Amino acid sequence: MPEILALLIAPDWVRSLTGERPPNVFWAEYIVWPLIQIVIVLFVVLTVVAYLVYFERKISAFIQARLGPMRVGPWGILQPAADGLKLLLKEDIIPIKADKLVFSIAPIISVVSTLVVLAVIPWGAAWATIANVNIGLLFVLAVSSVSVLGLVLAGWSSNSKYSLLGALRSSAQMVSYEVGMGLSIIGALIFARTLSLSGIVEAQRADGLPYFLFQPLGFLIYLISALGETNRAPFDLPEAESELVAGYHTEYSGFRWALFFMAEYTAMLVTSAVAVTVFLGGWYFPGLDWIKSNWGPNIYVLLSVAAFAGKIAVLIYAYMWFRWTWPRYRYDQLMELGWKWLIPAGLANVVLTGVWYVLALPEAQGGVFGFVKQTAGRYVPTGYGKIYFILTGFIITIPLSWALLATINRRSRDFNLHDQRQLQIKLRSERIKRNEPVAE
Amino acid sequence: MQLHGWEAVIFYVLAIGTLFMGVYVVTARLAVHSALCLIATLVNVALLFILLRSEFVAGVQILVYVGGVMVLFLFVIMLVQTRAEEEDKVKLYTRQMWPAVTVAFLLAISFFFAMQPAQMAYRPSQSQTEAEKKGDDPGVRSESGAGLKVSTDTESVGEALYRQAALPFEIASLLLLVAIVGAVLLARGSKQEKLYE
Amino acid sequence: MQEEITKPRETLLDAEEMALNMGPQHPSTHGVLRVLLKLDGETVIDLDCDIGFLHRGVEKIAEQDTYAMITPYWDRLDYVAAVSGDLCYVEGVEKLLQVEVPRRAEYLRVILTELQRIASHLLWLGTHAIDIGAVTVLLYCFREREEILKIFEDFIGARLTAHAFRIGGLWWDVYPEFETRVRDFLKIIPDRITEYETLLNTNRIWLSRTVGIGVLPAEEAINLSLTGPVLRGSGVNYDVRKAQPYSAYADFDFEVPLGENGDTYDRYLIRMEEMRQSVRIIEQALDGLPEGPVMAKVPKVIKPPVGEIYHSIEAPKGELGVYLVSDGTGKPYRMRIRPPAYINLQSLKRMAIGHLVADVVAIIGTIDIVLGEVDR
Repeated sequence: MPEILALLIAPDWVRSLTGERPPNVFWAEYIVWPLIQIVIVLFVVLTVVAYLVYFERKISAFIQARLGPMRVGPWGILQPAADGLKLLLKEDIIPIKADKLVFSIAPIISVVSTLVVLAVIPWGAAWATIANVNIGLLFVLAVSSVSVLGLVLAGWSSNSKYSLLGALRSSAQMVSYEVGMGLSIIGALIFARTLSLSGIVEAQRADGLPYFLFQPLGFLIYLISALGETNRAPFDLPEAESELVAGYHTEYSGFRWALFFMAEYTAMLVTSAVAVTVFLGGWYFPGLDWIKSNWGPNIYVLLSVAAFAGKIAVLIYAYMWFRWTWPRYRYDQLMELGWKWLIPAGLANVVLTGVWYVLALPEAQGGVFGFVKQTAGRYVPTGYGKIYFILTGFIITIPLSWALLATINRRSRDFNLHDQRQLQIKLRSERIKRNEPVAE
Repeated sequence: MQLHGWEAVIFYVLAIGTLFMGVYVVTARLAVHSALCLIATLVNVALLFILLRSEFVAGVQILVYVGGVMVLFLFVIMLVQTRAEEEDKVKLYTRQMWPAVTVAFLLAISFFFAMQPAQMAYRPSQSQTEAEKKGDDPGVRSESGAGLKVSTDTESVGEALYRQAALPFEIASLLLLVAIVGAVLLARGSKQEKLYE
Repeated sequence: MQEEITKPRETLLDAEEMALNMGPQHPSTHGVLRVLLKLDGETVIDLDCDIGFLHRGVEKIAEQDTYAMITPYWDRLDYVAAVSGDLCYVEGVEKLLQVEVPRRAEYLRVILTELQRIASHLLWLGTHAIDIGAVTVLLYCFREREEILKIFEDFIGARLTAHAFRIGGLWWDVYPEFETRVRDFLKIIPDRITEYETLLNTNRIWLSRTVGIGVLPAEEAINLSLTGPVLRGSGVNYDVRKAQPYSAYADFDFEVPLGENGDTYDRYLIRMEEMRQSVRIIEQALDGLPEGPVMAKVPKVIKPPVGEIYHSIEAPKGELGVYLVSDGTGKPYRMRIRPPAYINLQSLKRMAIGHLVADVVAIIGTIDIVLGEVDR
């Protein structure tokens, strides 16, 4: 654990700027260096978010057999700049009876609460994290839940009955899926033993395996909950254009709307970053230590940031892929999925992981198998322990959870649809293959 | 504990902010503004918790209070919305203000006197203040890991909750379960029962 | 009825009913259709359609135009499958005139009409899917429809309102590459249909949104005088091509897919299967295409004898019919259009009541309406 805290020492050149000598390095440590980090992270993330919109348009275009933005700059690369400029220059319209203060504050709350989370995410090794708070994961969950307020206030301040209903539906959906997100992470926390995000990455580095191998069910639940939390397809009914009840941002135009859009894409980025940190090993990839010892610490940190960015890119591509492939769920089906499928599965995951972990403790602590040894203040699974956890995670936890879900949902209308219709489709295609008349 | 330096400044800023926002909660004209100020108050309180080295409680305060309870407050306020004309006619300061101010004043004085014995009893010893002064100096950092203080608030809360207070925890969860079942039952009308079948 | 539905309520909490207006301008109503919904929470308890925004008075105009001048108006009724409208009308007039169309013209008419059926069903699939949320399917369907429209453009000169048929046959013969291009198209389309089926048939979300939605039992479908895939989805075996064969359909071997449950999913499967059967028909027609003239001997001024006929065909939307009364002059005395979309739209109220608001959009999509036909 001490090595984690040694991550956040400001580099020497910052100390030379402020002229402070250890041990009294208050300004360098707490003001100057974090400010530099914040500026860099904000600048990079805001640009990335703008280009995420561009990539969404391009990826959706390629999926749909067309080209996407091509005119503004080569291959349409300057499209985000053009869009941003246009939105800045638009007329600022506030509906007549809307509450001006709340109308202006709502998008700000949304954006700020999503951007604040960027401070605790471990972007890379060593000095590439702004703040390594030891409640990192709780901080992420807490601040993400504040963004729901921005939504609700936006819907209310638009002074339109349908915006309000849309906002309330959106926020009810977000709150429900937050529970699923929180539950799914607990399984990985049992292995990492710390809430600090850098600590979780270090734990995966020390254990040698990313935690999605130990927690496949948790990873799956987290991905689906993240889709529901960020209001992305297939859970984007509250903001779909073809819906009768208008979304919460109907009355917003110009830069305020751009803020909501930015909040949505930053939320996508943040939930992907948390998924990568907790389940996919964060910035670590095997071979990174060799790079550190052979190519020097700076390249080490830069490569770790690149690895993190690459993993996030894969997840965000998956987000976009899902949006343009699948239809969307109806609102009550969406809430049923969140409450009756994801939350019981998350709970089952926590209970079962706890059971496997306790069984694996050494005999001295009341366990049975002794697959987990205590080394240097941490519990580390042995070689057999890793195989044990992977096996229990895939082979026992998933079927048991599925059995639980089937029992809970056996009377649900949507549960057996797939099998019912599969039979009909199979019979129909058999008849067609045999050239039999399809008509009855 | 005694706060020094930056911590004292931040404490006073947060405390005054909390008080102001609390007053706004009571005196805002629109109910939604009142709720917004309550959110600001709760966030300030969470920051005060961080100052008290209880970051876990701070995180949970924001997660549960601001992200859960206040969202539901806002739901209710928005669904039972009053018309704008009625809101303009609402009188903020009625004649009941004077008794209220008097009672609040008396309450403040009684708080002050109630806290006196506790503050007299708490006299940090000399060595403790010295250690505090040195330990709380944010400039002190050791790179090799010896003597680093990691706040173990999460661990202590978890230990207390699940080891010493396990039975009250279970009872509280049972209470919550009863509340949830009751809420679902109250909210489902007979029409919805038929729809479910 | 309308005032009752649109009366507002006090606060949102004690509102038992809410009136919602799915206005004439809406991305999902496939045209200018206004639907007034009365909701209890999210369940639809009453529904009323307000149509007429696209009314152009075609039947009245027909009383003042000659028979040949009326033909282009039929393209613009169901503008998604323009040629079907043409077919219905010109066959009606040929029935009045008792003119026999050459075999080659009949085969070519069948080929073009079945191509339009595929185009119409592709558009239906695209818009239905995008209403339910699968955006990509719309663009794939348009990619295939583009091929059909190109074939039509090279033949007739118009993509959408293709005025291909004349009274007595076709105006001119097909261009030489027509057969190759249609055959090339037929080679790719079954795989594309399989692609759409892979995307949607077994997709859990699609199943949740379409199975059990908008169920219509067979007797009610017959009572509402529905036709087309909406009727066949409930299991009633009535297809005008088989029941009263017209044009050259009696020469071809094809099946009529039937549904079992009468819900949205069955109607979806039926239309996908109809596309495949259309491919089959076109192949047979191309293989057996006879040589010969494409236009019969029709007088320059068309004056049918006094009488009346009713002729109907199986348009992609249902049974499209024309009732012509001739009084001996060059202009019809009365022309009445039996629009399938207008009659099928009646079932919206029956199907949507009891479902949630988000299902209304799916049900409007599954009835497959085109407002040009509904309003005429």
